[in-house]
Amino acid sequence: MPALTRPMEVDFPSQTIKNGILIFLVGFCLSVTQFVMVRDFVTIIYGEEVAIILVTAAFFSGLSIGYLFSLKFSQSFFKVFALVLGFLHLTFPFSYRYLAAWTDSLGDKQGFLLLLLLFVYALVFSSLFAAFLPRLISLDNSWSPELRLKIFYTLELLGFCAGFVAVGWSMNKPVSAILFLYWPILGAVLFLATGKRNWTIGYLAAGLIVGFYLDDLDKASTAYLYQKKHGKSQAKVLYSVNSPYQKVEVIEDYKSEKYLYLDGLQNLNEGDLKYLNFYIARIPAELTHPNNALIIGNGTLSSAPVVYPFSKRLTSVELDPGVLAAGKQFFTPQEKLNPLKNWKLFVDDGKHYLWTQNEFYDLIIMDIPSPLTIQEAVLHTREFYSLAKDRLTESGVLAVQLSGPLQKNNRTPARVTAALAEVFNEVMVIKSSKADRSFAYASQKLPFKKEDMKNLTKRFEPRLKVISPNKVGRYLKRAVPLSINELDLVLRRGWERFTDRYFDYD
Amino acid sequence: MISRATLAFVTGLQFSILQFCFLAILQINVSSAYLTYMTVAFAWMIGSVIGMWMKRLTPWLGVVLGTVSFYFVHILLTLFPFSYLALVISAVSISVAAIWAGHFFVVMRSRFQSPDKMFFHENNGFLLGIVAFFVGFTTLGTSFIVSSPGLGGILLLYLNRLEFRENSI
Repeated sequence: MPALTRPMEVDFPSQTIKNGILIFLVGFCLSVTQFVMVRDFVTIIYGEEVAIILVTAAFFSGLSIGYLFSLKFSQSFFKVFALVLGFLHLTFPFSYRYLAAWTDSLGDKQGFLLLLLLFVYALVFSSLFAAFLPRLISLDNSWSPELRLKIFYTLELLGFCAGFVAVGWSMNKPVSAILFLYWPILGAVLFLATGKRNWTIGYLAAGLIVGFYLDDLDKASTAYLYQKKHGKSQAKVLYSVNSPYQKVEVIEDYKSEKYLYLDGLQNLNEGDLKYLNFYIARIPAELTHPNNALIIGNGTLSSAPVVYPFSKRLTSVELDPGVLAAGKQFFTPQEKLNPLKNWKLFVDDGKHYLWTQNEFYDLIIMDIPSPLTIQEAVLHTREFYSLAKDRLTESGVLAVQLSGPLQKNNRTPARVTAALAEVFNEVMVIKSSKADRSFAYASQKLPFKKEDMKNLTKRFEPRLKVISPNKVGRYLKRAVPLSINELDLVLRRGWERFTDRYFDYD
Repeated sequence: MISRATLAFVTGLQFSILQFCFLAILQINVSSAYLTYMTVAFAWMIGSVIGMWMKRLTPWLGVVLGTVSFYFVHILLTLFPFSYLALVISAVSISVAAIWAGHFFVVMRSRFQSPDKMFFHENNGFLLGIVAFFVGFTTLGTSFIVSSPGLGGILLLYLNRLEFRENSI
């Protein structure tokens, strides 16, 4: 009996077993496509939390459409539909990247077209798989309807778990790793669903051909996206993996400068790194000469050799192994790290690390991305700063980069500084034109003065503005401190950036 | 009169908010590591499968189990933050909370003429829940996390009461 046909044609129980295998594999595919779509489209749209929610919502709307039409298609139409979508899946990930890059050249219409592209691809990614479960429950005639629901839904969930394991295996690998595994399984789904052997062989042959060039296509389409959407002429993709947390990419431009991108958002470039490390790492280290220093974040590890000469003991804590791998390969070669004998590296969440170990630090450096996602924002809250304060010695210093210049408003730098000012007695802020941002140094009792800061930085940046602790308050009158209960910045700033990027016609 | 579609929709909304609230309190109070996300996802799916095969479970008990499990985890993590033992206990509680997520479909299947609509409405509710959680948590903070599973649970109990009363008439 062909799959998914009416009761009269059932050849029990082999067809039911086939359907069971089919729905298990469908669950597997759903798990993988959700991962691939969310990661890739978030990177295309740029990875603020707003983009993550939008892409996830698009994926689920694809599921809804799949459920809605699942029983409306005739069996013959469904077979054609499955085959067409199956072949379209072989164009992942390059087709939508090229199309997204193309929308960027369309001026005013680009935002709407990108959204259209997102929702059309959501249909391609998820609607087919959503259609199977209702069809199997309704059209397979073995057992009672209730038992069919239980068995098929259980198998789909187990398949989803299996897909989850496969996704876990593909972590810190290029997207091609999971696609190589996914395509043959999709081929099996197509065969079981349509019974069309020749088409399935054709599909697998096409998959083999595309698979042979997949790494090249992956890199070429990523490079094209960075050229068109990010304006990086002659962009070259040096590194592109899906870490457990984000897509990590290292791009090189025509000047051979390297850029680190996380979910499509520029985290840093080689040029800026020099200024960033000077103010976030070297200056506080040189001013405090810590016995024990801690760096949270800084996946590139580039701060470690900078702080190390001034510190007796140094620990780095970074959550993302994908960023660490990129850092070691492209930003901080192992030769720079080998001499650091009293340096330890832990892969852990910063707040979990601070809570669970018993050491005290003279200097904690927060080298983490701007608060554009909830998880990043939590590390800029007064709750987190309280935790850090508990791990600092009496005159220990917390150094934070403020993601922009501090101004008298309610934007990110002011809100982060306000959170620091609520927790610490003293907060000194510097405004660097070279680094294009401000940095804050917070302590219960700052072990250095404005003059010390001026003296130490005058060669590097003579016009550096230093705001002493007693004057920082003037900048914070309109600023609401970031806290777990005040994370509206993630929504507000994310939405602002998203609409400015795609719907600002001025 | 309450429609089955509304009940399925609100149930999906509640499942979504529960899942994201579990994830949020674990990420804030234990760790943002991938292990936390995997724990929530796996525990939820295991609970769903168990729920699907349970012989008897009333909507009242299912919804209450889910809501109470959430507040139990919330209290547990407040008392014992950043403990991996708390994560393990939380995983069991998440599975308990997800039991209704599996059994709901078994109960509702006979009330919907075809399963496509049941999944469609539940999924739409889940989708709205994703957006609602993000907007709610970023604007209201922990008060959203503390209140929304309880309010959702009460609404769901009310809707279930109406739906099942109508069906029994």
